[in-house]
Amino acid sequence: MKIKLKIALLFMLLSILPISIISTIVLMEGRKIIKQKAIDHLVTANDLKLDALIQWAQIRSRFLNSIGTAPLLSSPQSAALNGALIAPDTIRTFLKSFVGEHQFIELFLVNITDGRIMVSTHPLQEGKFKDDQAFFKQGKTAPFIQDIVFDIASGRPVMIFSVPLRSQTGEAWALLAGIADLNGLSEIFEKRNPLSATEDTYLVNQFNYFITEPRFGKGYALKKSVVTQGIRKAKTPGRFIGLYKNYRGIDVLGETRWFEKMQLYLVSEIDRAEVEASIFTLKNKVLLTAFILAATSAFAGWLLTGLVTRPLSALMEATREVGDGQFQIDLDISRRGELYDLARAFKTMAERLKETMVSKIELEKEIIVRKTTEKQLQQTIKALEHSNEDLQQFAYVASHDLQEPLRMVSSFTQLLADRYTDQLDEKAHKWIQFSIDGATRMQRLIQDLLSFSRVNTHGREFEKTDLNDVIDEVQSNLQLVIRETGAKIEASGLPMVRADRNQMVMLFQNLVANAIKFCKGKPPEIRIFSKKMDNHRLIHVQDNGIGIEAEFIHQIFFIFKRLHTRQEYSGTGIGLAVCKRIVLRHNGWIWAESEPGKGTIFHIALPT
Amino acid sequence: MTPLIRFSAMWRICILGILFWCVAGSALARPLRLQLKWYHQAQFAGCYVAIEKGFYKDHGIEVALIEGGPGKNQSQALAEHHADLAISSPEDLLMNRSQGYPITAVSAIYRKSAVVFLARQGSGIVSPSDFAKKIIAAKRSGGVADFSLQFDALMKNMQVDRSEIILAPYDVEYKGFMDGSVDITPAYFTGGLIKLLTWGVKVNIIYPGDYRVRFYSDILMTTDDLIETNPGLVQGAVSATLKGWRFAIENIELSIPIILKYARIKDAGLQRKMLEAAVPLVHTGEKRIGWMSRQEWSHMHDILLDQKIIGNPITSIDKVFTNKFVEKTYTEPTP
Repeated sequence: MKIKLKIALLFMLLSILPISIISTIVLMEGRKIIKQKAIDHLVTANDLKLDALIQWAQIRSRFLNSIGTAPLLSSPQSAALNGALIAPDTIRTFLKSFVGEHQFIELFLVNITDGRIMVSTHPLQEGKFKDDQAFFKQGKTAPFIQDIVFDIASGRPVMIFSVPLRSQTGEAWALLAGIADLNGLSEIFEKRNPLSATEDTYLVNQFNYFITEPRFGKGYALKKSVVTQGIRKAKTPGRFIGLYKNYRGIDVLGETRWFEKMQLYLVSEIDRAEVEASIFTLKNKVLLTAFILAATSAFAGWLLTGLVTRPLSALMEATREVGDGQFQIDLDISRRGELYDLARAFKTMAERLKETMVSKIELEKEIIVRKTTEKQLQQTIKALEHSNEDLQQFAYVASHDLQEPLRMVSSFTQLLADRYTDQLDEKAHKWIQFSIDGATRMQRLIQDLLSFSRVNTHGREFEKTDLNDVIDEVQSNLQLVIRETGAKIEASGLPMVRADRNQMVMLFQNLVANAIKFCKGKPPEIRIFSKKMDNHRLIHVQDNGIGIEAEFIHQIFFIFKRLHTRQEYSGTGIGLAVCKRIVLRHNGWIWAESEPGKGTIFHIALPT
Repeated sequence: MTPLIRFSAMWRICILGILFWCVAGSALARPLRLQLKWYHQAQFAGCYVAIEKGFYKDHGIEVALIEGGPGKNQSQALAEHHADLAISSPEDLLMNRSQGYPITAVSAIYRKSAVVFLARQGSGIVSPSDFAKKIIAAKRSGGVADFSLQFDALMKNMQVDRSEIILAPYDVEYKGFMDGSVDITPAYFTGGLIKLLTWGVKVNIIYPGDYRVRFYSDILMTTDDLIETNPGLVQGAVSATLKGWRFAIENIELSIPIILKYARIKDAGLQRKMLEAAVPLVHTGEKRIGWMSRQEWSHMHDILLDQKIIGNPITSIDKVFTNKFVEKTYTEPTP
């Protein structure tokens, strides 16, 4: 499972618990509120119906009273004389004027002594006795409202109001009674909440019979009884509120109220299903809200995870690319935050890695090139060494082997000159002298060349060599010329070096000899001193000679290189080449500085 | 089985045995015989419904209905032990009671009398005062005694001169009334009146109750002996019968097919009208169905005594009826 999905599920799971708790509380409270609201509504409905019922009865009672106080019904002329009225037609007409105003359908006067109807708005009722009726028995002294009964004459339920009629002396002489129009009562109970599909309100008498028509029944008044839990339990405490099965056998929430004064039950009910529909709607809304919240939470988790995983995925992809050697990675580093800092760092790392890899490759190429070059160089060196060896061998062999014939040429030419001096003319002698000089010079050249070649071929093992001793030996070797030229040689503080002592002698002897030789017209002054430089010792040989032109300074170490004619300065031109060769054999190097007329200084660097 | 369980089982058997004995004591070995006042018709709808709906069975009672009719005497049926309970008229009970026969009303089915006097509309006869010099078919014939009884009481109450009234025999076919030879005829609110109205006759109804002649019509009665020896049976019979009536009143449509199973005249329309007419007499809106009042029993007793229908006054009117079975019907939960 991907981390994104995991975190989304985690967010959802984390949100489910608080959402569930809140939803449950909301649902429970909502259920309570809805139920309480329904109960309040039913109680209010019953309150209103009761008020309306009381008002309905009071209006009729007052109306009947007001009719009873009319002068016609209280005057002495109207008083009953032996049960007969003085002016029955007048009274009937008077009463008829009050019938049909939705209050009474019949008004009549009842004799106070025997209960006989003396006059009625319905003439056929006159002469009938109502002495068995409660409105007569109990209405003689005070206004009375009789329970609803079934009237055989009219064939319907009736409620009779009565009020005693009194003469001016205050004596009750008759009862004024009225049969109330129950349609008005039914209208009160048929006014129900139009927003409710099941709200039912109705009146039930003390014998459990409907007095008004219920919402879902016709012809129930005094024809159908209803015994619900509400009616069974309401009488003693005065009311019952709760769930029960109603007259239709349907579960309802209802308030049944016992109205003692009129011996009636007021019932307000609403189907449980309707109440629970609201609860169900609330439940659905709560569940939907909870689901949306959980889904939103999961979505938020998904999005938030995306904020983390997207750059991580990009980083992962970039890592894979880098792993595959693709250092040109495309990473979004434009935003702020730790992950983008990481991306930036990674990109920088990749770029550096790329540079490193490029360098490495170039380095590897360079190594290959260098190795190749080195190999070639080694081969060249080897070839050169072979060539050098061959050359040295050749030079040695040539110089060595050439000496003998040359000596023969020189000897026999000298012998020829000596034996045939007389026989030869001046010119021949001159030419023979030229031959001998040539042979001698050639001999010197060969010897010098032999010396040059012997530097590498006949060199000795290096040993600790005191250069002061070397200089002493040089001075000893050159004492004759030194004396002749008056040269002054100053040498001091020279170091001890590992070297071929003979070659050191040869080196410094060549240099001192050159310094003496190239000192024209003045006594040579030669100074030999030393300095320490890193791992080398610098030995300087300074003279006060003629100096060297700057343009030739680099040519002085070439073999057979001469800057002057033989006439000016003797020599073969091989001395400095030998010097250089000796220094090189000792892994050092030699160079010179000079200024014409001011002398020359040779620097020799030897490893310590 | 552990001793505890065995002991518990024994107790259960004992309790069941006691219960069985109690039930057996309240029931008869044979069906309870209920003598009806008249032919099978909607007049006895409550009994039919109680049988068909199993209300009697709920009380452990099997009921056998004995049809009434001309010449059938309900009190006599009780006296001769041909019936255990009977539906009869209050005057029948009062007459027999005054003669010392111990029968008691246990419930008033028709709490208002179904007897009415009819005159043609336009005849000018609208009250008993108009009966003078008229031909009235109120002479007693056969078992129908309540017409003449109530007529006599009515005339007396209204102080109508009897000498100017010509009495004719009551004709169940109302031939004289139809051809005009009879001015006034008694009829049952639940029977003859419906018949005449069905024939299209327009009538003025004079209800004796409006003129202080107030009789119960059908009452349920039984012997004092049965009340004493088997009150549970009487209670069951009363409760089931009243329940049957409540059902019939509240469910006229459902009751008609039941009535038709018993009624001689298989006319659903007629039976419906009879039942609808019976409803306000059974269920008046005053008190509970079946309930009786001492005042009304006294009133009936006084009328009969006044008319010398009964010779000896009944000293204790409270012996004539008892409301205890009716009251228990409404206070105890139905089985």
